[in-house]
Amino acid sequence: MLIRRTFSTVKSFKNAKIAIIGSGPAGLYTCTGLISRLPECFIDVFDRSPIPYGLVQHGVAPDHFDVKRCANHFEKLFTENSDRLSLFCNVSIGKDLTFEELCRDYDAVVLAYGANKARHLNIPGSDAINCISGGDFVSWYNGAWTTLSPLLDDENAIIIGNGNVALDCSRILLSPIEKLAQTDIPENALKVLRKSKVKNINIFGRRGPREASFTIKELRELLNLDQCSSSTNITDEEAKEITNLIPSLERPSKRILQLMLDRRQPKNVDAPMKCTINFHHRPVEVEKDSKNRIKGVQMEHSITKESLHVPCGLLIYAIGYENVILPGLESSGNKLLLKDWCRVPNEITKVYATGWCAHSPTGVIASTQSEAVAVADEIAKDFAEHSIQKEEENKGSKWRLDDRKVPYLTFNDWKYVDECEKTMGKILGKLREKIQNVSEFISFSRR
Amino acid sequence: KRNFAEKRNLDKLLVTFKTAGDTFEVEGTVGDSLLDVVINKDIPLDGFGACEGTLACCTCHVILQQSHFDRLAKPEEEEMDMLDLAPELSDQSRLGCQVILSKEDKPGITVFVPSITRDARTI
Ligand SMILES: Cc1cc2nc3c(=O)[nH]c(=O)nc-3n(C[C@H](O)[C@H](O)[C@H](O)COP(=O)(O)OP(=O)(O)OC[C@H]3O[C@@H](n4cnc5c(N)ncnc54)[C@H](O)[C@@H]3O)c2cc1C
Ligand code: FES
Repeated sequence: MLIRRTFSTVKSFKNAKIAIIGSGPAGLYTCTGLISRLPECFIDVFDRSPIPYGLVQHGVAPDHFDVKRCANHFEKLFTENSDRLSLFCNVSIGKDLTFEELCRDYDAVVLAYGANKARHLNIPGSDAINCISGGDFVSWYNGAWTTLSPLLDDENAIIIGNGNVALDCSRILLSPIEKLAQTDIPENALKVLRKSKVKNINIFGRRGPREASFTIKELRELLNLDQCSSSTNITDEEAKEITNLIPSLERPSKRILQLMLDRRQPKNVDAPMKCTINFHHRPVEVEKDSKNRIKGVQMEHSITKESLHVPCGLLIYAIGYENVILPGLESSGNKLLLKDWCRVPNEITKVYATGWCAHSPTGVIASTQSEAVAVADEIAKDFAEHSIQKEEENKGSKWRLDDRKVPYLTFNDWKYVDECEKTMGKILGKLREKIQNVSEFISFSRR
Repeated sequence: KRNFAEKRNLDKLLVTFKTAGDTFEVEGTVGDSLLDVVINKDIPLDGFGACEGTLACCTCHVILQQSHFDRLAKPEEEEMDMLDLAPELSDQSRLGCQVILSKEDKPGITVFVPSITRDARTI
C-alpha cells in the first residue's frame, strides 16, 4: 500500500489553461510535473515539427536507442491524460500563432522551444562542398528534413568540436554497419554509410582535455569501438600536469581525465579504422579544390600558434548550438531575458522558460528533466499563491488554428505515424523506419 | 499452499523513499530493483527511470544509507559513468535500477531521491 504522507498538489485553482511551446524533454517533463501538481488544469502543447519529442527524435543518435525510451513515458502521459492534455504539432509559434496570442489565450505559457540552430563555422573557405555542420549531419542520420547528402568517398575526415555531438558524428561514421542497420537510422543514410570510405577521423578541440565538454559514457563508447583504434592525443607534458591535478578533483572529472590519460595509446592497434581526439587546435582556413570541394584544413595550435595542415575530404563542425529568441520576446545579449531563473517578464500572463531555450544549450536529458520538474513546482506555487480572477475563462488557441485552417497534427496522428514506422521497421529488421515527410504522409492517408 | 504464502511474506520488506518534501513507504519484494518498486507501486517521482533501467540515463539516482551501500557489490564501470552525470552525486550514490532488494535489507530500507530536490536555480 502506498502511504502518501505529504504531496503538494494545488486543488483550489480550477480549470487553469496552460500552453507549452515545444514538445521536447523540457516541455513534456514540465507537463508531467504540472499534470500531477495542478490536477484540474488543461494543457495544450505546440510544436512546429510534424512529430513530437524534439531532440529525442532528431538529436539523440540512432545507436542510443535506450536513451530514447523516455518517449515511452511521454506516450503514456498523452494517452492517460487525453481529457486535459492536447498536442498540436506542425504549428510554429511566431508564424501560425503569435506569442502574444498565446499570452491572451492562456493563464500561463511555458517556453520550452529548445535551441536547435547549429552554430556556424566562420572561417575562409567554410562554404566548401562537404564542409558541414554537426547539426545538419545529425539531421541527416536521424531522418529529419534536410537537403544534405554527405560525400563519404574520402578516407580522411575531420570533426571540429570536443562535445558529445562531435563524438556522436564520429561514432556513426566508424560503427560497424550491421549494428547501425538494426537501429532506427533511415535507409537512405544507411545506403550512403554502407559505401563509406571514411576510415581515419581526426577530432579537434579548441581547448585542452580539462575543458572538453563530452561526457564519459560517450568518450568510452568511442574509445571502445570494434574495428577502430581510438586514442587521445595528449603530450607527455600535459599528461604530467593532469596526473598531478587529478587527486584534487571531484570524482566525475577525475574519472574522465584518467580515462583520457589511459587511452593515449590505442587498445587495438591493428584495427582497420582509426580515430584520434586532438586538443588545443582551431581551424583557420578550409582548402578547396577546383570544384569547390574541401581538400584539407589549416589548423593552428591555440597556445604555440604552430600551424598544421590536415588533408581531408569531409569536415563536420560540431561547435555548439545557438539560442533563438522567439518573435515577441525580449533578449539580453543573445539569451532570453528572464526575471529570475525561470520566469519571463510579461504583462498579460504568467510566462516561464525551461530547457535549452532558457539558458545556454547544453545538458543531457536528465538535467533537462530535473530542471523542468523544478519549473513545474514554481508554476504550481504561483497558481496557489495568486489564483487569477478573470471575468471569463481563457479558451485556449485551438479556435484560432481552426479559423486559420492551420493543418495541425494531433497525438493520434503521431500514433498513426509511429505504428507505420514500426511496421516498416519490422519488415526491414530494424527498430523503425522513419517517415521523412510526415505532413504529406498524413494528408495522403486522410484522403 | 500455506508454505507458498509464507515464503512470499518472507520475501517482503518495507522500502521508504524520501524526497525533499515527501516520504513514500511501500512494500518491496526481494529480487526487485528499486526502479521496479517505484514503477510497481506507482510512486509519483517525476521522470524517475527515463531509460527503463538500461543504464542510459541517471534519472533513477538514489542516495543510500552507508550500511546498505556497503553490503552491495561495487557499481560497475558503466553505472559509474552514468552516475558521474547525476546532480548531487554523493559517495553513497547508486542508480536505482541497479540496486536489487535482498534478504539482508529486511525489515526495511530508506533511500533518498535527490534529483527531485535539486534546486534548478544553480543552472
Ligand atoms: C545531437 C544531439 C545528441 C544528443 N544526444 C543525447 C543523448 O544521447 N543523451 C542525452 O541525455 N541527451 C542528449 N542530447 C541532449 C538532449 O537532446 C537535450 O538535453 C534535450 O533535448 C533538451 O530539451 P529541450 O526540450 O529543451 O529541447 P528540444 O529537444 O530541442 O525540444 C524543443 C522543441 O521545440 C520545438 N520548437 C522550436 N521552435 C518552435 C516554435 N517556434 N514553435 C513551436 N515549436 C518550436 C522544436 O521543434 C522541438 O520539438 C543530445 C543533443 C543533441 C543536439
Ligand atoms: S533508469 Fe536509466 S539508468 Fe536507471
